[in-house]
Amino acid sequence: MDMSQYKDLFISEVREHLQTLNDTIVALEGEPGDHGKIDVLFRMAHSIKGMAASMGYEKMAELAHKMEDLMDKVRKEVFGFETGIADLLLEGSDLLAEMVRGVEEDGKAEQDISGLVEKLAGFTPLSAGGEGEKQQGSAAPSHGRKVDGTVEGKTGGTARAVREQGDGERSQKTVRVRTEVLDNLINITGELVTSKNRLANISGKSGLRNLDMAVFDLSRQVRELHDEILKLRLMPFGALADRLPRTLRDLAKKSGKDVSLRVSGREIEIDRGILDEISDPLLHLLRNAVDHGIETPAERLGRGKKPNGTIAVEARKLKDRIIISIADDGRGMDPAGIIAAALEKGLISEEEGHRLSPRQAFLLTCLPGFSTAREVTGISGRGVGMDVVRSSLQSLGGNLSIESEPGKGSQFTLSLPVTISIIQVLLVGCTPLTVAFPVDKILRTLDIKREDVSVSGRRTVFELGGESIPLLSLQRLLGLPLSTGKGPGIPAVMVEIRGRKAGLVVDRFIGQQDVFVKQFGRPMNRMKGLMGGAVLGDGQIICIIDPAELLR
Amino acid sequence: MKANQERFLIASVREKRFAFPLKDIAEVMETFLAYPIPKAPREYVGVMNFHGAPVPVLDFDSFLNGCPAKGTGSVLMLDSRICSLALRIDGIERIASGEIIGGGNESDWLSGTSVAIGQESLPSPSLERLVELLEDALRSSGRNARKP
Repeated sequence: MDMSQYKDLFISEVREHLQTLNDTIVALEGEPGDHGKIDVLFRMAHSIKGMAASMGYEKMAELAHKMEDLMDKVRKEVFGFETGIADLLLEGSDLLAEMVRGVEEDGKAEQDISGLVEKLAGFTPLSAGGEGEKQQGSAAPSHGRKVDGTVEGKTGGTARAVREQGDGERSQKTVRVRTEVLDNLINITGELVTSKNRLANISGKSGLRNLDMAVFDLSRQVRELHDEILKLRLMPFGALADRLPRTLRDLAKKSGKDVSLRVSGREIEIDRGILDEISDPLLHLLRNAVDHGIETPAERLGRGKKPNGTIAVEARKLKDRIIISIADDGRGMDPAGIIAAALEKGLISEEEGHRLSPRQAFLLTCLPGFSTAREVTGISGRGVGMDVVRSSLQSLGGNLSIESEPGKGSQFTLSLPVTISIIQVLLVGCTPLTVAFPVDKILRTLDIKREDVSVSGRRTVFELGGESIPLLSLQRLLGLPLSTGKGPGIPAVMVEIRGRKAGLVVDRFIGQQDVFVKQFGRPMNRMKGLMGGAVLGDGQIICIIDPAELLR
Repeated sequence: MKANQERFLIASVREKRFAFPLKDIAEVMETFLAYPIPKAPREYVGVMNFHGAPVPVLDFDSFLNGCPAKGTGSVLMLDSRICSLALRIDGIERIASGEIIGGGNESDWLSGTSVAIGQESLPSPSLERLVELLEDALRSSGRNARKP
């Protein structure tokens, strides 16, 4: 029987099972006697074995079978669940994930499983003086490196694949949808927004009331369609957050630290594209928190803290933004130390260093090549990560802020749009061009009085609320011929560039509108400072400026 | 057409003629309207609306010879497998079958590969290499990419 038609479904289901397997293993380390979780592990291994066997992936089935056997012994209380078992099962889960990748790429799952199969079959527990002795203690919280990660219901897979929780039966009211279909739908809706804008433009010039009414109705319907399609693309934060306990467990083991993880806001829904893009930045921040934030148990005790550190990851919705924070109760950061390091590396001038607020100083850690880590470790500290974290967020229309207090800990906050592709922009005239700024990248628009502008050293600045803010010509930044404004005020948009406020002088404000952003392909996608292009209602194409990248 | 022959589009830029593999051309447009691209090097005419997608237009003459980019002429929309780019050229002569007679000289992307069409031999630029050159130039903050 040709099973290839079921390959995608197989891949997506095994991945869901492996995710549950990982979560449950890590959770069991905190509660080794939880029979419910032990049963879940057994069932997951059993299900993977069955699915792999029915698809003809014999090695995968054999490995899952050995994992199932080991869990069966735990289930029957031949021995208790301990760190040695957790390590072997996680190793098995990783190897199964590799095999799934093989199936996805070339239809084969041919990895060498012999070594691990032997270890699984020959496992003897710590109490019997076996394999477990090589591990650092048991999984009991009082002895081992504990990682708390409450594993709750989840949604994962290729799309918004919803499952009934508990009994594992599939809901009859849901279907699996390929992610490409969702991407196509959002593209088509974006085109509709552009067409609607064109119609609105024609209708505005025609003076036909009936046409106006029809376009008004069409606008509402397109907006509703857009909203519904965006909902289809939403996935709960848990789809990403549920990977964190396993990652944290591995990091804590490597660094010899005792860390607990608290995750909240798993139910908060985020666009699938954004969730994919923030995965690496979030993992990087977690690695940093373990590696640089949380102290060793001895250091913590010496500072009068509990020996185990805590990392809290929280997602919440704030108006039309998603806020994700990663907070640790570790050693924190000293703004003066960061400024000194940046000066030493020649990243800033002394004058700039004096002007920086603590918040701005923390953002210096996002400059390329910045690192205050005393040594580069296998986990992080190469001074490249935070730069990538920040640019990844900015490319999504998001931003990063950092709060920290020496000795008490640090908090990294990611602010992101709920959805991507269709964004609200401010159109501005910058002779001879019309360009657009995403509204969420603008702190405010300004009409600066000429008397508030002065020259300080080599910089032109303006005063706002007692603050001296650099004023830059957008024309100059875009390499356009300079023109001199003659009006009483200077129109400008205030934006944040590298954590600092700046005013960008424009010729005039044209207005706000929703546009469907299309990113440039090769070669134009290599040019910094452009987020993409959009077609306006009159057919004109405008470029969308990313102010944060403009000065790089 | 012989088995080892391909179809080429013969286009002219100033006095030079080039043979572009037809499979690498998505569409030919006799006229176009381009809007300026901020910060773009001078060889880019602007960005045009290609079936709803913003596609940059590179003036091939300006790229090769350093003259100011022109907003008139025809454009060859390159296949999306290669890039998202339109090439402005001076004229389109014809489509003809030809055979690659020499090539593989990577150091000369412009005329390292020749195509025999009838009795004549025409250079066939490497579009992949062209895009790489443009990418390199844009990566170094939009400096002029001209480098034939």
